[in-house]
Amino acid sequence: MNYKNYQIIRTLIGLLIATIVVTATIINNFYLVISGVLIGMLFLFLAKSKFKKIIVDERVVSISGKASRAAYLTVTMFLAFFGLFSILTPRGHEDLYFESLGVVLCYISLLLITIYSISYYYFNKKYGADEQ
Amino acid sequence: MSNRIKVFRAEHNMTQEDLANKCEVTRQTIIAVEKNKYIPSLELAFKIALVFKQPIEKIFNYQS
Repeated sequence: MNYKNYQIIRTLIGLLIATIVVTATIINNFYLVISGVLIGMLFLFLAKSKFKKIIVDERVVSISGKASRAAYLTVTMFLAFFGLFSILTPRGHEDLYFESLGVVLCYISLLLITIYSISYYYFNKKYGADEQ
Repeated sequence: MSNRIKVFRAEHNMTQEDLANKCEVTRQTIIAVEKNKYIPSLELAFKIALVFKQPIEKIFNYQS
């Protein structure tokens, strides 16, 4: 199996899992969701084992890094600003739930920043910072 | 940064897929490098140079 076939199979399995999960959610069947995801994972594992040489090259890693950073920035900024808005807006003073939502969102954005900082520190150390 | 990968590929009668397989990267990466849309790592640059059996500076040209 070449890389192209592997990609096609992976996409098909992904679509299959998505279809099962959506259908199961619509008909409110929790067990079908779990079994669909598990079967999908099993198929993915089998496809992966058939295709030994999976190429995750430097360009893909570089693109993933940039995409992750963009996603992190977008989500963190959105959560922080929406959280602040929820707390500071007049509705936040009147509606307790709205203010609580704002506090929770602010904490989530702080958590994201913390996780990012810890990961950055870890990878910075791993890739040779502070070494002479 | 410019490169002469396409020229060397033609000389060696090699497709982008062949070069990608030899360098253990995807074909998309070779296309991106050829079009100067992606600057390869030093490791990949050396791998490409090894495939063509040429010094690296003959394939890649850096203009500041």
